[in-house]
Amino acid sequence: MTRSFQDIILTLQTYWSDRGCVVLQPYDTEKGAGTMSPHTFLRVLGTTPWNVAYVEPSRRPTDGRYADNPNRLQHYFQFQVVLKPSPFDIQDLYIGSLESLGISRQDHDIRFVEDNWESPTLGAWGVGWEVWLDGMEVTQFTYFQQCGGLDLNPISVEVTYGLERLAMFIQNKTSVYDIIWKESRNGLVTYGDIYRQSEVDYCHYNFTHASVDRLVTQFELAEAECNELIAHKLVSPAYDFCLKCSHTFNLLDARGAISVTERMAYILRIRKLAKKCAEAYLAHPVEV
Amino acid sequence: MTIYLLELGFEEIPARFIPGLIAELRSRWMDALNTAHIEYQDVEVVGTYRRIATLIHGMADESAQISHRIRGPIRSVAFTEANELTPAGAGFLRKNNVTDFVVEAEGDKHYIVSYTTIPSRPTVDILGSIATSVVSGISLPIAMKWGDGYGPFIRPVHWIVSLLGDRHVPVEFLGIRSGAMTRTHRFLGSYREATITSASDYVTILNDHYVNVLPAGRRDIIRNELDLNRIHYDVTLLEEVVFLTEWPVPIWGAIDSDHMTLPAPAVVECIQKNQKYFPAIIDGQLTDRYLIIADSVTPANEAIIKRGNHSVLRARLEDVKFFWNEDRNNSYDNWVKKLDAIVYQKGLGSVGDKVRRMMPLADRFAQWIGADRVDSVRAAQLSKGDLVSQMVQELPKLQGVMGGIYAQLSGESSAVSSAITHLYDSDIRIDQPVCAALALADRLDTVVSCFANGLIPTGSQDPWGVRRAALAVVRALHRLHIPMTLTDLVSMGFDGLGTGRDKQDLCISFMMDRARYIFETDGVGSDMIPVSAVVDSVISPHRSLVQMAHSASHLQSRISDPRLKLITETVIRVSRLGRSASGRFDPSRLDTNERAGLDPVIQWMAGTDIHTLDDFHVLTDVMPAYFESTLIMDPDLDIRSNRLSFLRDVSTKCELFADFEKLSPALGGAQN
Repeated sequence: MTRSFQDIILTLQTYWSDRGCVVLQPYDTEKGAGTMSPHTFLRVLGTTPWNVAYVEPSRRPTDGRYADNPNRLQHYFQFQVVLKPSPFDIQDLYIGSLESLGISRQDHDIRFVEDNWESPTLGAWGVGWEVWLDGMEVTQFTYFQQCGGLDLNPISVEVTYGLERLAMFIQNKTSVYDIIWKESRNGLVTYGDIYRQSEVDYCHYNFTHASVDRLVTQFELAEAECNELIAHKLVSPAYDFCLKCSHTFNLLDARGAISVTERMAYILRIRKLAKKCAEAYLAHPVEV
Repeated sequence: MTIYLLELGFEEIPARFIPGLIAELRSRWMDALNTAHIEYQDVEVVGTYRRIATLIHGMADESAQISHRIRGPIRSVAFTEANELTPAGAGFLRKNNVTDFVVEAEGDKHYIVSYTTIPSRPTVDILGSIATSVVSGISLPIAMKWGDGYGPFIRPVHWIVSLLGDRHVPVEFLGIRSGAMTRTHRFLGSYREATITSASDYVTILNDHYVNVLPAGRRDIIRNELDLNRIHYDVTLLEEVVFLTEWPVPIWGAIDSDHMTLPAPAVVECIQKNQKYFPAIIDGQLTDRYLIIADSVTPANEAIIKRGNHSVLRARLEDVKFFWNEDRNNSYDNWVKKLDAIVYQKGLGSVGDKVRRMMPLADRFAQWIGADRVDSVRAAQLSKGDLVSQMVQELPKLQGVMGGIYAQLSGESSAVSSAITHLYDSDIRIDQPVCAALALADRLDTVVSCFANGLIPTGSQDPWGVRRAALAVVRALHRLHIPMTLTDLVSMGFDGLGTGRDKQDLCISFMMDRARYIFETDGVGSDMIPVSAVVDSVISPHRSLVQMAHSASHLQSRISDPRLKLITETVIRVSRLGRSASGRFDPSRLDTNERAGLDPVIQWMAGTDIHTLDDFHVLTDVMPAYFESTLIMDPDLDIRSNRLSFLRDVSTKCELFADFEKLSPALGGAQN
């Protein structure tokens, strides 16, 4: 029987839970990647060990293709694992997770191909690989070196599975919309059944209908809110508003409303907020 | 004589760094062994993405005993008259930690001399610390830390094998202790680890466990498959793939027929850049096959791997198809309009502004070259449009190539589309006039823009490729024999820019340095001296490249002609004297005899340009005798001043041909 999309998630959750990870739920603010969840961004700072796994819905407005392209989406899912400090056998652990999904190492060509990662808005960078499974990129592997402009020690490793890619591979589908989410009591439910229409709607919104003027205002309001909350040392809500700035910026970008020079200025503004949040968190880190 | 093996094992290192690491390790090892006086036959460094191994062949079992002779002070300083050591003599012995000494003669002097010996030591005793220092000093092109702050290295280090013959030599690096245990291929074979029993068996043992550790061996496997199928391949890609594998196995894939209608350059770029496959380009034609070099192939999984790779490439090419269709529904004119929104350089406006500067430049160059002016201007107008096409945004290397394809599709002439296609070729296409006019316009604008904007290349810093652009411009002008001076060229560029005039002279001399390089390498004069004599002359910015090249090659051909020596000596004498002149030369103030004697030179000065050394004969006929018979520094200051001014004018005329001061070293020195 084909492993469904939700089986894949459940299997990964069980696998990493069995290896000592806290399994958390998605964070409820729009963001471009699982890295931006406070469960990663804030927790990789400081010295407290942290092992976590969670599914993260990710939004990248410019990647939308009105559901015409079988591989590109403006909203998709990542499965994120963060281990701090990075264990020595992390590659083997990762390969083990693929085997738990029925992807046997004997049957495939698995490669770790250089891919270093940098997020200018988060002031974060790391080195690592993208993992190729018979030529398909299914996972990003990053050893974080800096976050919020701060050097990290100990080093965290982040393993980010592209759930749709993985599911297409496992289910042998050529379109993301054909992925079987679940063979439910009422029959097959596909990814397309759940997300195709909203994908199209969001593309219209992102590319055409999002109000540039209101977005600009929203950005400024969120930036002001973030700064004020940092002044009150309220790191978590402050960081939410930093994320809102980031997503608003992405929407403005998709609307084609940002020139090259403005772009840099926006990125710097967001980075400033991220850095302040990181510093404020470090001043009062949460102990686990 | 033994083999030493040092294998460093790590998580996957980027393929692009490995050749450099191998070369560096080899030279570090050779230096270290020489410093330690350990003899060896060869240092071989091999490796893959997961390991780098040094094999030192024919290593001596012990370091050589080294004797040093140390000479101290002269005898009279080192010894008293009673032949006892002075404080200076004793100090010498103490400083060098020796007690024995002799007195030896050097020439007619005697010195206190001591001999010291660094004793021979067993290699095995010192090798560990040598190995540690060699690997610790590796330069890191990219550095990371891992775990609890281990590092830095390129990727986490996992194991070290250090064996002299079959004997373990302990080495510790970044928290890892060496042993005899290596890791085998990550996925092939049944073992994860293997013991290296002896350094000499290293390559064989790994090979038995599906690791071909020799880059040359892996390269051969891949290249044989390519050659056998007569495939033209990218050498850089081959090198990358060699280091992306431990056990390369070729698998052939096929491009779906509906994707074969896509533009070939886009398909090729997609296959090579994104997937690291080799497109089957045979006799210049893209065929529908491609070669995957997989790393974990078994008879059981080959079909699965092939299918997986095929579906990935299919998805990539679907993207290309999407961009291709989108782009063809767009119009070139629309793209050109969008260029106004793209910043070219801060302070220099948009790409649209650059295009508007390039159009009149292309027109001017077209006139010089004899290219069709309408085509050249049109090509300039469209040249940057593909920058905003979806295809180029996705595959930036295709800029120009896609522009050419889209221009052709929208009905532009073949001259226009071909000029866009070749705009970014590293050498400007001088055989196609419109191509040359466009490429010259683009690069000249880049050079003057960067100068005006203060982005002047220094050392290795040249992010905008100004050197390359300037070199291409000067080379093309030279090869096209365009009789344009560098002053006119640069000035034309600044005219369009309207700012940064204060950088113009700097820019001209920057261009002149490219001319020097081109003359030296492009068959004008392999000898630097005649080239310098021409290029460094004060007049060179106002001479065309054609004239300069002519002068330089003429001087080169006459470099051993005795008359050149005479001319040079004469001119140098003239110019050195003429340097102190301040007034105007007035022939009427020479006395009649002197005037008559100098008349041929005065005529010559008023005459036409100097083309060859033969044009200097009048000078060598007249001037030596003149210097012989005339006291230039006449006590009468008016006469003296007039003579000096005359000499200065002669010298100025000579400089129109070359700077003779620069020539003199080639001729064995001029007389003062």
